[in-house]
Amino acid sequence: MAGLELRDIRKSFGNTQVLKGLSFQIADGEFLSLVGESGCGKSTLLRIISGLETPDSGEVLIGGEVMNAASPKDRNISMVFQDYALYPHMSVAQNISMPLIMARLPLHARLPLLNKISPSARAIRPEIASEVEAVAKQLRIEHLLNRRPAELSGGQRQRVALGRALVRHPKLFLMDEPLSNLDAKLRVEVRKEITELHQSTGLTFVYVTHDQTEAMTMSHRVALLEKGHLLQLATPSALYADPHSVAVARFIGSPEINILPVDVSSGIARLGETTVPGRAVNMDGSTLFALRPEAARLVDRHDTSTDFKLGFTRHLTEDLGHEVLLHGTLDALPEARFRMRLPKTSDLLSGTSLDTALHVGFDARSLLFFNADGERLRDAAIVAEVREAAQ
Amino acid sequence: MSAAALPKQEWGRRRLAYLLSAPASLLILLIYVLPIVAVFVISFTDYSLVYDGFNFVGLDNYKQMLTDEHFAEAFRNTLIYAAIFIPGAFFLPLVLAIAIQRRRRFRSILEVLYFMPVTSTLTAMTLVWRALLDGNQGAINNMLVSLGLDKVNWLGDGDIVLISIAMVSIWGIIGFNMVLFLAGLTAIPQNLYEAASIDGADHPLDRFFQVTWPLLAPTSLFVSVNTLVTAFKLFDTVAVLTHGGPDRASEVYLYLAYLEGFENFNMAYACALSLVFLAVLFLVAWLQTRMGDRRRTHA
Repeated sequence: MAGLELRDIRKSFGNTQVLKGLSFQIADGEFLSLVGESGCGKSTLLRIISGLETPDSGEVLIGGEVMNAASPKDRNISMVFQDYALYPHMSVAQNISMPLIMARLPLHARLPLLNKISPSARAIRPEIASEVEAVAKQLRIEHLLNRRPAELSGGQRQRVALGRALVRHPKLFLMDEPLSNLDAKLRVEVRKEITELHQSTGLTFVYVTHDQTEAMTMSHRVALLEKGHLLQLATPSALYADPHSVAVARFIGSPEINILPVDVSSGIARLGETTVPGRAVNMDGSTLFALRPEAARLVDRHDTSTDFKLGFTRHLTEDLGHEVLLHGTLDALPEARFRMRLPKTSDLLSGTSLDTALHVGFDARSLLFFNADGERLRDAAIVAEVREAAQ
Repeated sequence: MSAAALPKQEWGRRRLAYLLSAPASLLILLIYVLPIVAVFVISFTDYSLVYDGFNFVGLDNYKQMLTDEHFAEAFRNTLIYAAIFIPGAFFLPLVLAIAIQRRRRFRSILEVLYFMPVTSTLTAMTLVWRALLDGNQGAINNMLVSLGLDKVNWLGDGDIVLISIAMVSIWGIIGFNMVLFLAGLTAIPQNLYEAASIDGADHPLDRFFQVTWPLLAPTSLFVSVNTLVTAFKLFDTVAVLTHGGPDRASEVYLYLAYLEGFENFNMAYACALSLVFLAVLFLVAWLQTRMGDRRRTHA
């Protein structure tokens, strides 16, 4: 049974169409990330799943039930907001207990004054308090239960928001860029904790982020959205290695994938003035060659071990300690940027200056091919003449 | 620059600072401080507008209050009026503000309509109300009659007159308090309501008591203190509508002070009344603020 299913979800605000017919399924217990540039509709989609927003058309199914008309409360979901949305006037314990109080106490027992004399409240409140304490212990914030949100650090507030979402054992756990307000170091830490939380609870997670690293490291599958369309829904490694379109290839991976515009006619591909060695199969006209920055390496001028060897002009070097990023252009294609990710051990770089002539080598099988519209050309390939002759 | 020149320059800077702040300080002294000091001093004398000279009489003026029937009556009237006025002037604007805030269309028109009484001259508007509330020819009574109801002697019945005055005052303050509440409501982050509805607090009462009311507390405190002070400051409506009548039924505290000072020329007694008024107001407002602070930090 699918934990969540979306069927042709459409949504417009005024004349702007934000979601243009999205359909996909998330398995029970799966961790799915919704990723895309800001304005791609990912937050709107999350709000539609939560019930804070209603779709213009389409269906939202949670645990196999159509939930379009259900209020957020009746969907049995939890949500962690980007800025946490903690109640500033309540203590941490009160914040976390809110969903339980709303679910278990009758209305009269939730109102001021009446709540003091309600017998049902007296029976249920201790039970709620012990559950809140258990969740706080799980998140290691039990020492903060009596504090106000204003007295907490960003990371602690984040945990309180997680606690408030966890305490009710929801069917669906929604998170809207929950790490974006944390500093870089804390973000890595909380990222790991959220993954552990997902493993220990086994809940279905839907996680919205614009940060591909978060999406790639945490989720089972990633849904990449662009302008209200689903570009691709796949596992992180499939998205990276096997993108459906050039947009996906560009979005996933940092530094960005290298895109080389190539002109192909009758099997001969031209990179600017340079002719590509080998025959271009199943492509014609203007084509895009894409190459991950780590698939290229620096080679000696006389090296012949790679299929391609091209002159490279370096503009900028970024030393990250364990690796080096080179930014520059290929001499054959001065208008296209070319990025390389090299291990620190690459000794061809030592003693060079920006003016030193460098050579880039890479193999044809590392290339991804796209047509001019950005669609992947799955059958396309560069075949060595020799091999072709041998067949 | 020599070392000796520095203190001189420093002194010049100070003189300039005093010079620049002198006009404002002088004005505050003349307009606020001196009158209060004068009222304080006069309240211990038998100064009267119709005789030259005065003697110090100690606490006589204050002792007189304890036995003065008019004082007791004015005090009681003020409390009754406040008990009618304050809840109306607090809760009506609150309800209106919540109702108006959710509207997209007509919101600004409604805001202007409700705010209009605040911008108009209260005395002039009170004259209009006198015509409306007139026992025989008043529009309100004509309306009641056309609905088949009995006429009400709005300003002539001692049991009703304070209610009538409170109604006029509430009408005058609704717009002001509503705008304050609207500002307070706008400051509540929308995502708290979203979090509340995810948490299951989507009943209007839950939304109000879990989110709106607690987060509106600073605004509510300000509105309530302000409304309380306004209630005790009631004067012009009484002066125009009833002159304290019928039979002193609407003679409120400040109106009594005015009568004593400028009708009976008992300036010293009027000063004592004013000081007691000031002390009571200060005490109540202080208590209210203290309670509000405690609620915010310990609730």
